[in-house]
Amino acid sequence: MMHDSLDPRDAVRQPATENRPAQQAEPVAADREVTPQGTELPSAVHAYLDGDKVNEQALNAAQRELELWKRISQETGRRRRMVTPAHLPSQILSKLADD
Amino acid sequence: MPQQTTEPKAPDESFDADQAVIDRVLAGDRNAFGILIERYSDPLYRHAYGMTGSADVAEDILQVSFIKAFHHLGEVRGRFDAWVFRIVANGCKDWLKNIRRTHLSYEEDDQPSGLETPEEELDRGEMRRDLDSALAALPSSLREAFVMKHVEGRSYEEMAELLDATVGALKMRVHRAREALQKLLEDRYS
Repeated sequence: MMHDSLDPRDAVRQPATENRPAQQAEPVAADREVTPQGTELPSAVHAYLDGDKVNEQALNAAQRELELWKRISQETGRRRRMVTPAHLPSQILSKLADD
Repeated sequence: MPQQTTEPKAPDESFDADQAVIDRVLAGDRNAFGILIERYSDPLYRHAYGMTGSADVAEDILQVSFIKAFHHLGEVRGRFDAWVFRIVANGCKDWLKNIRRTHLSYEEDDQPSGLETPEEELDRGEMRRDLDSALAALPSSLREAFVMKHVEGRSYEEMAELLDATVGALKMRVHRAREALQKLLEDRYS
């Protein structure tokens, strides 16, 4: 996996791309970010998590990864059911009234 | 287990409804602002909790953000929900920058899980802490994309609208976040 710097100063250090042929231009800066060392997650697992059409055979071959993502999804699912603490809306309104 | 998306919305309807409330608030009806808080606080709270890993910090960010929104309500152009989301999202990013700078550890929450057995409770507690730690290791843009997709259950299209980014760029961020989390958690859970 390629790692890029988010440091805006790097744009100054790097050679300008304007003089290069268009096909050699680098991706736009907005999509270049530093990521911790990752690992290849099978595309079938990404597709499954994205709700896309999945190749069952490829998914079956990724059972180890899938098991981990089922556990992660249980936790994210619990977080998705969280609601704002009941006291918060009235607390905000009373702060506004104090202004 | 594919991600659920939020319920389909009728953007024009919610825009009109929000605008009517905003008009009331701007005309002096402060309490009407409570309608907007009730309408949008849950997804915003989930976002703040997902980004900070702390119920208390999420509460603080929501409170400050809604107060800021109230004082700048006359500046809303377009959708209120997208506008207030950006205030909360920026509040989360500011908090993350600050906490990384001061090397503070973030708090554990004690939200009851509703699980049935002590073993399940322990297991859930471990995953909660491990996921919080792993998310904390991600750059904020990857964490934000992961939280919006997997915790808030938003579609890539909705994320693109709220973050002013392309669907392709956001898919890339979510995929990179998953791969980093896989790396951070696989030894413990595989």
